[in-house]
Amino acid sequence: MFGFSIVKASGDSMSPAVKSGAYLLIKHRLHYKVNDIVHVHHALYGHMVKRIVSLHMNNTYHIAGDNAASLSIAQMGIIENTQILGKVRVVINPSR
Amino acid sequence: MLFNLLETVNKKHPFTVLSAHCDIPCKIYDPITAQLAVLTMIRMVDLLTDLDDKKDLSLNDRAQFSRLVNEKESHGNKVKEEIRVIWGDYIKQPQLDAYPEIHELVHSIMLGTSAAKQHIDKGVTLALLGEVNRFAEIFWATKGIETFSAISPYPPEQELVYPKLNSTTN
Repeated sequence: MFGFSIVKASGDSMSPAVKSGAYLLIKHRLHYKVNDIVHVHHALYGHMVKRIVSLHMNNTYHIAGDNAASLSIAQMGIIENTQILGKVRVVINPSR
Repeated sequence: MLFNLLETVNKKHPFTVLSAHCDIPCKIYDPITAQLAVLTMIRMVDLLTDLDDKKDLSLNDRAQFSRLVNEKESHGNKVKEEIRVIWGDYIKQPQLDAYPEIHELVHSIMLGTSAAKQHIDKGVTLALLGEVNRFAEIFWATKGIETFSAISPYPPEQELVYPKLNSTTN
């Protein structure tokens, strides 16, 4: 609806910004910038929520979790713009 | 309140779930890969020493030398990678409490592997095998599985620590 979608996060790699169980309001954009929390469809790891940590000239990105124990930047590799399905606009974390 | 509302909707019409897990929880860990990689390093040292005994090296001998060194190097990297993954992903506080030597042992394995890569020295690779075997012993102990030592039934015929697993056949 209006280019927005709602998804649910599972796991703590983005905590405390996104806690496990949080609902996320996602908005598709044409371009993203460093520090955006995004919904990524990764060929190996599936649908994930991560943060953009670097943006390259050819419109590709590197992403990472906020926690050190997350999958590493190298493991996730270079992310194409088409693999980013949207930017997290609103985070509704569990209250507890 | 909004969260609770979304929880109610999610129960009837589940939303897409995005993974924010810290790692892939495959739980498949086994130190045997590291142990076999050290055995390979020892075997490479033996074969390199055989080459050293030759008076003149032919073109094939030199090509073989290059391949053996390369294999020793790549299996050294494998030892480090396998041990680091078990140490970093599997070992948690309860295992550290039970075996406080783990950190020092792993660091020593890293240094020992570097030394084994830098030199063609059987003594260094054998010392490394001893440490990796000790790591395997601790790993299986943390799972409550007994171990035993036996000579590997293939070159370089060195002692390996194996888990005593129950047979699934009669």
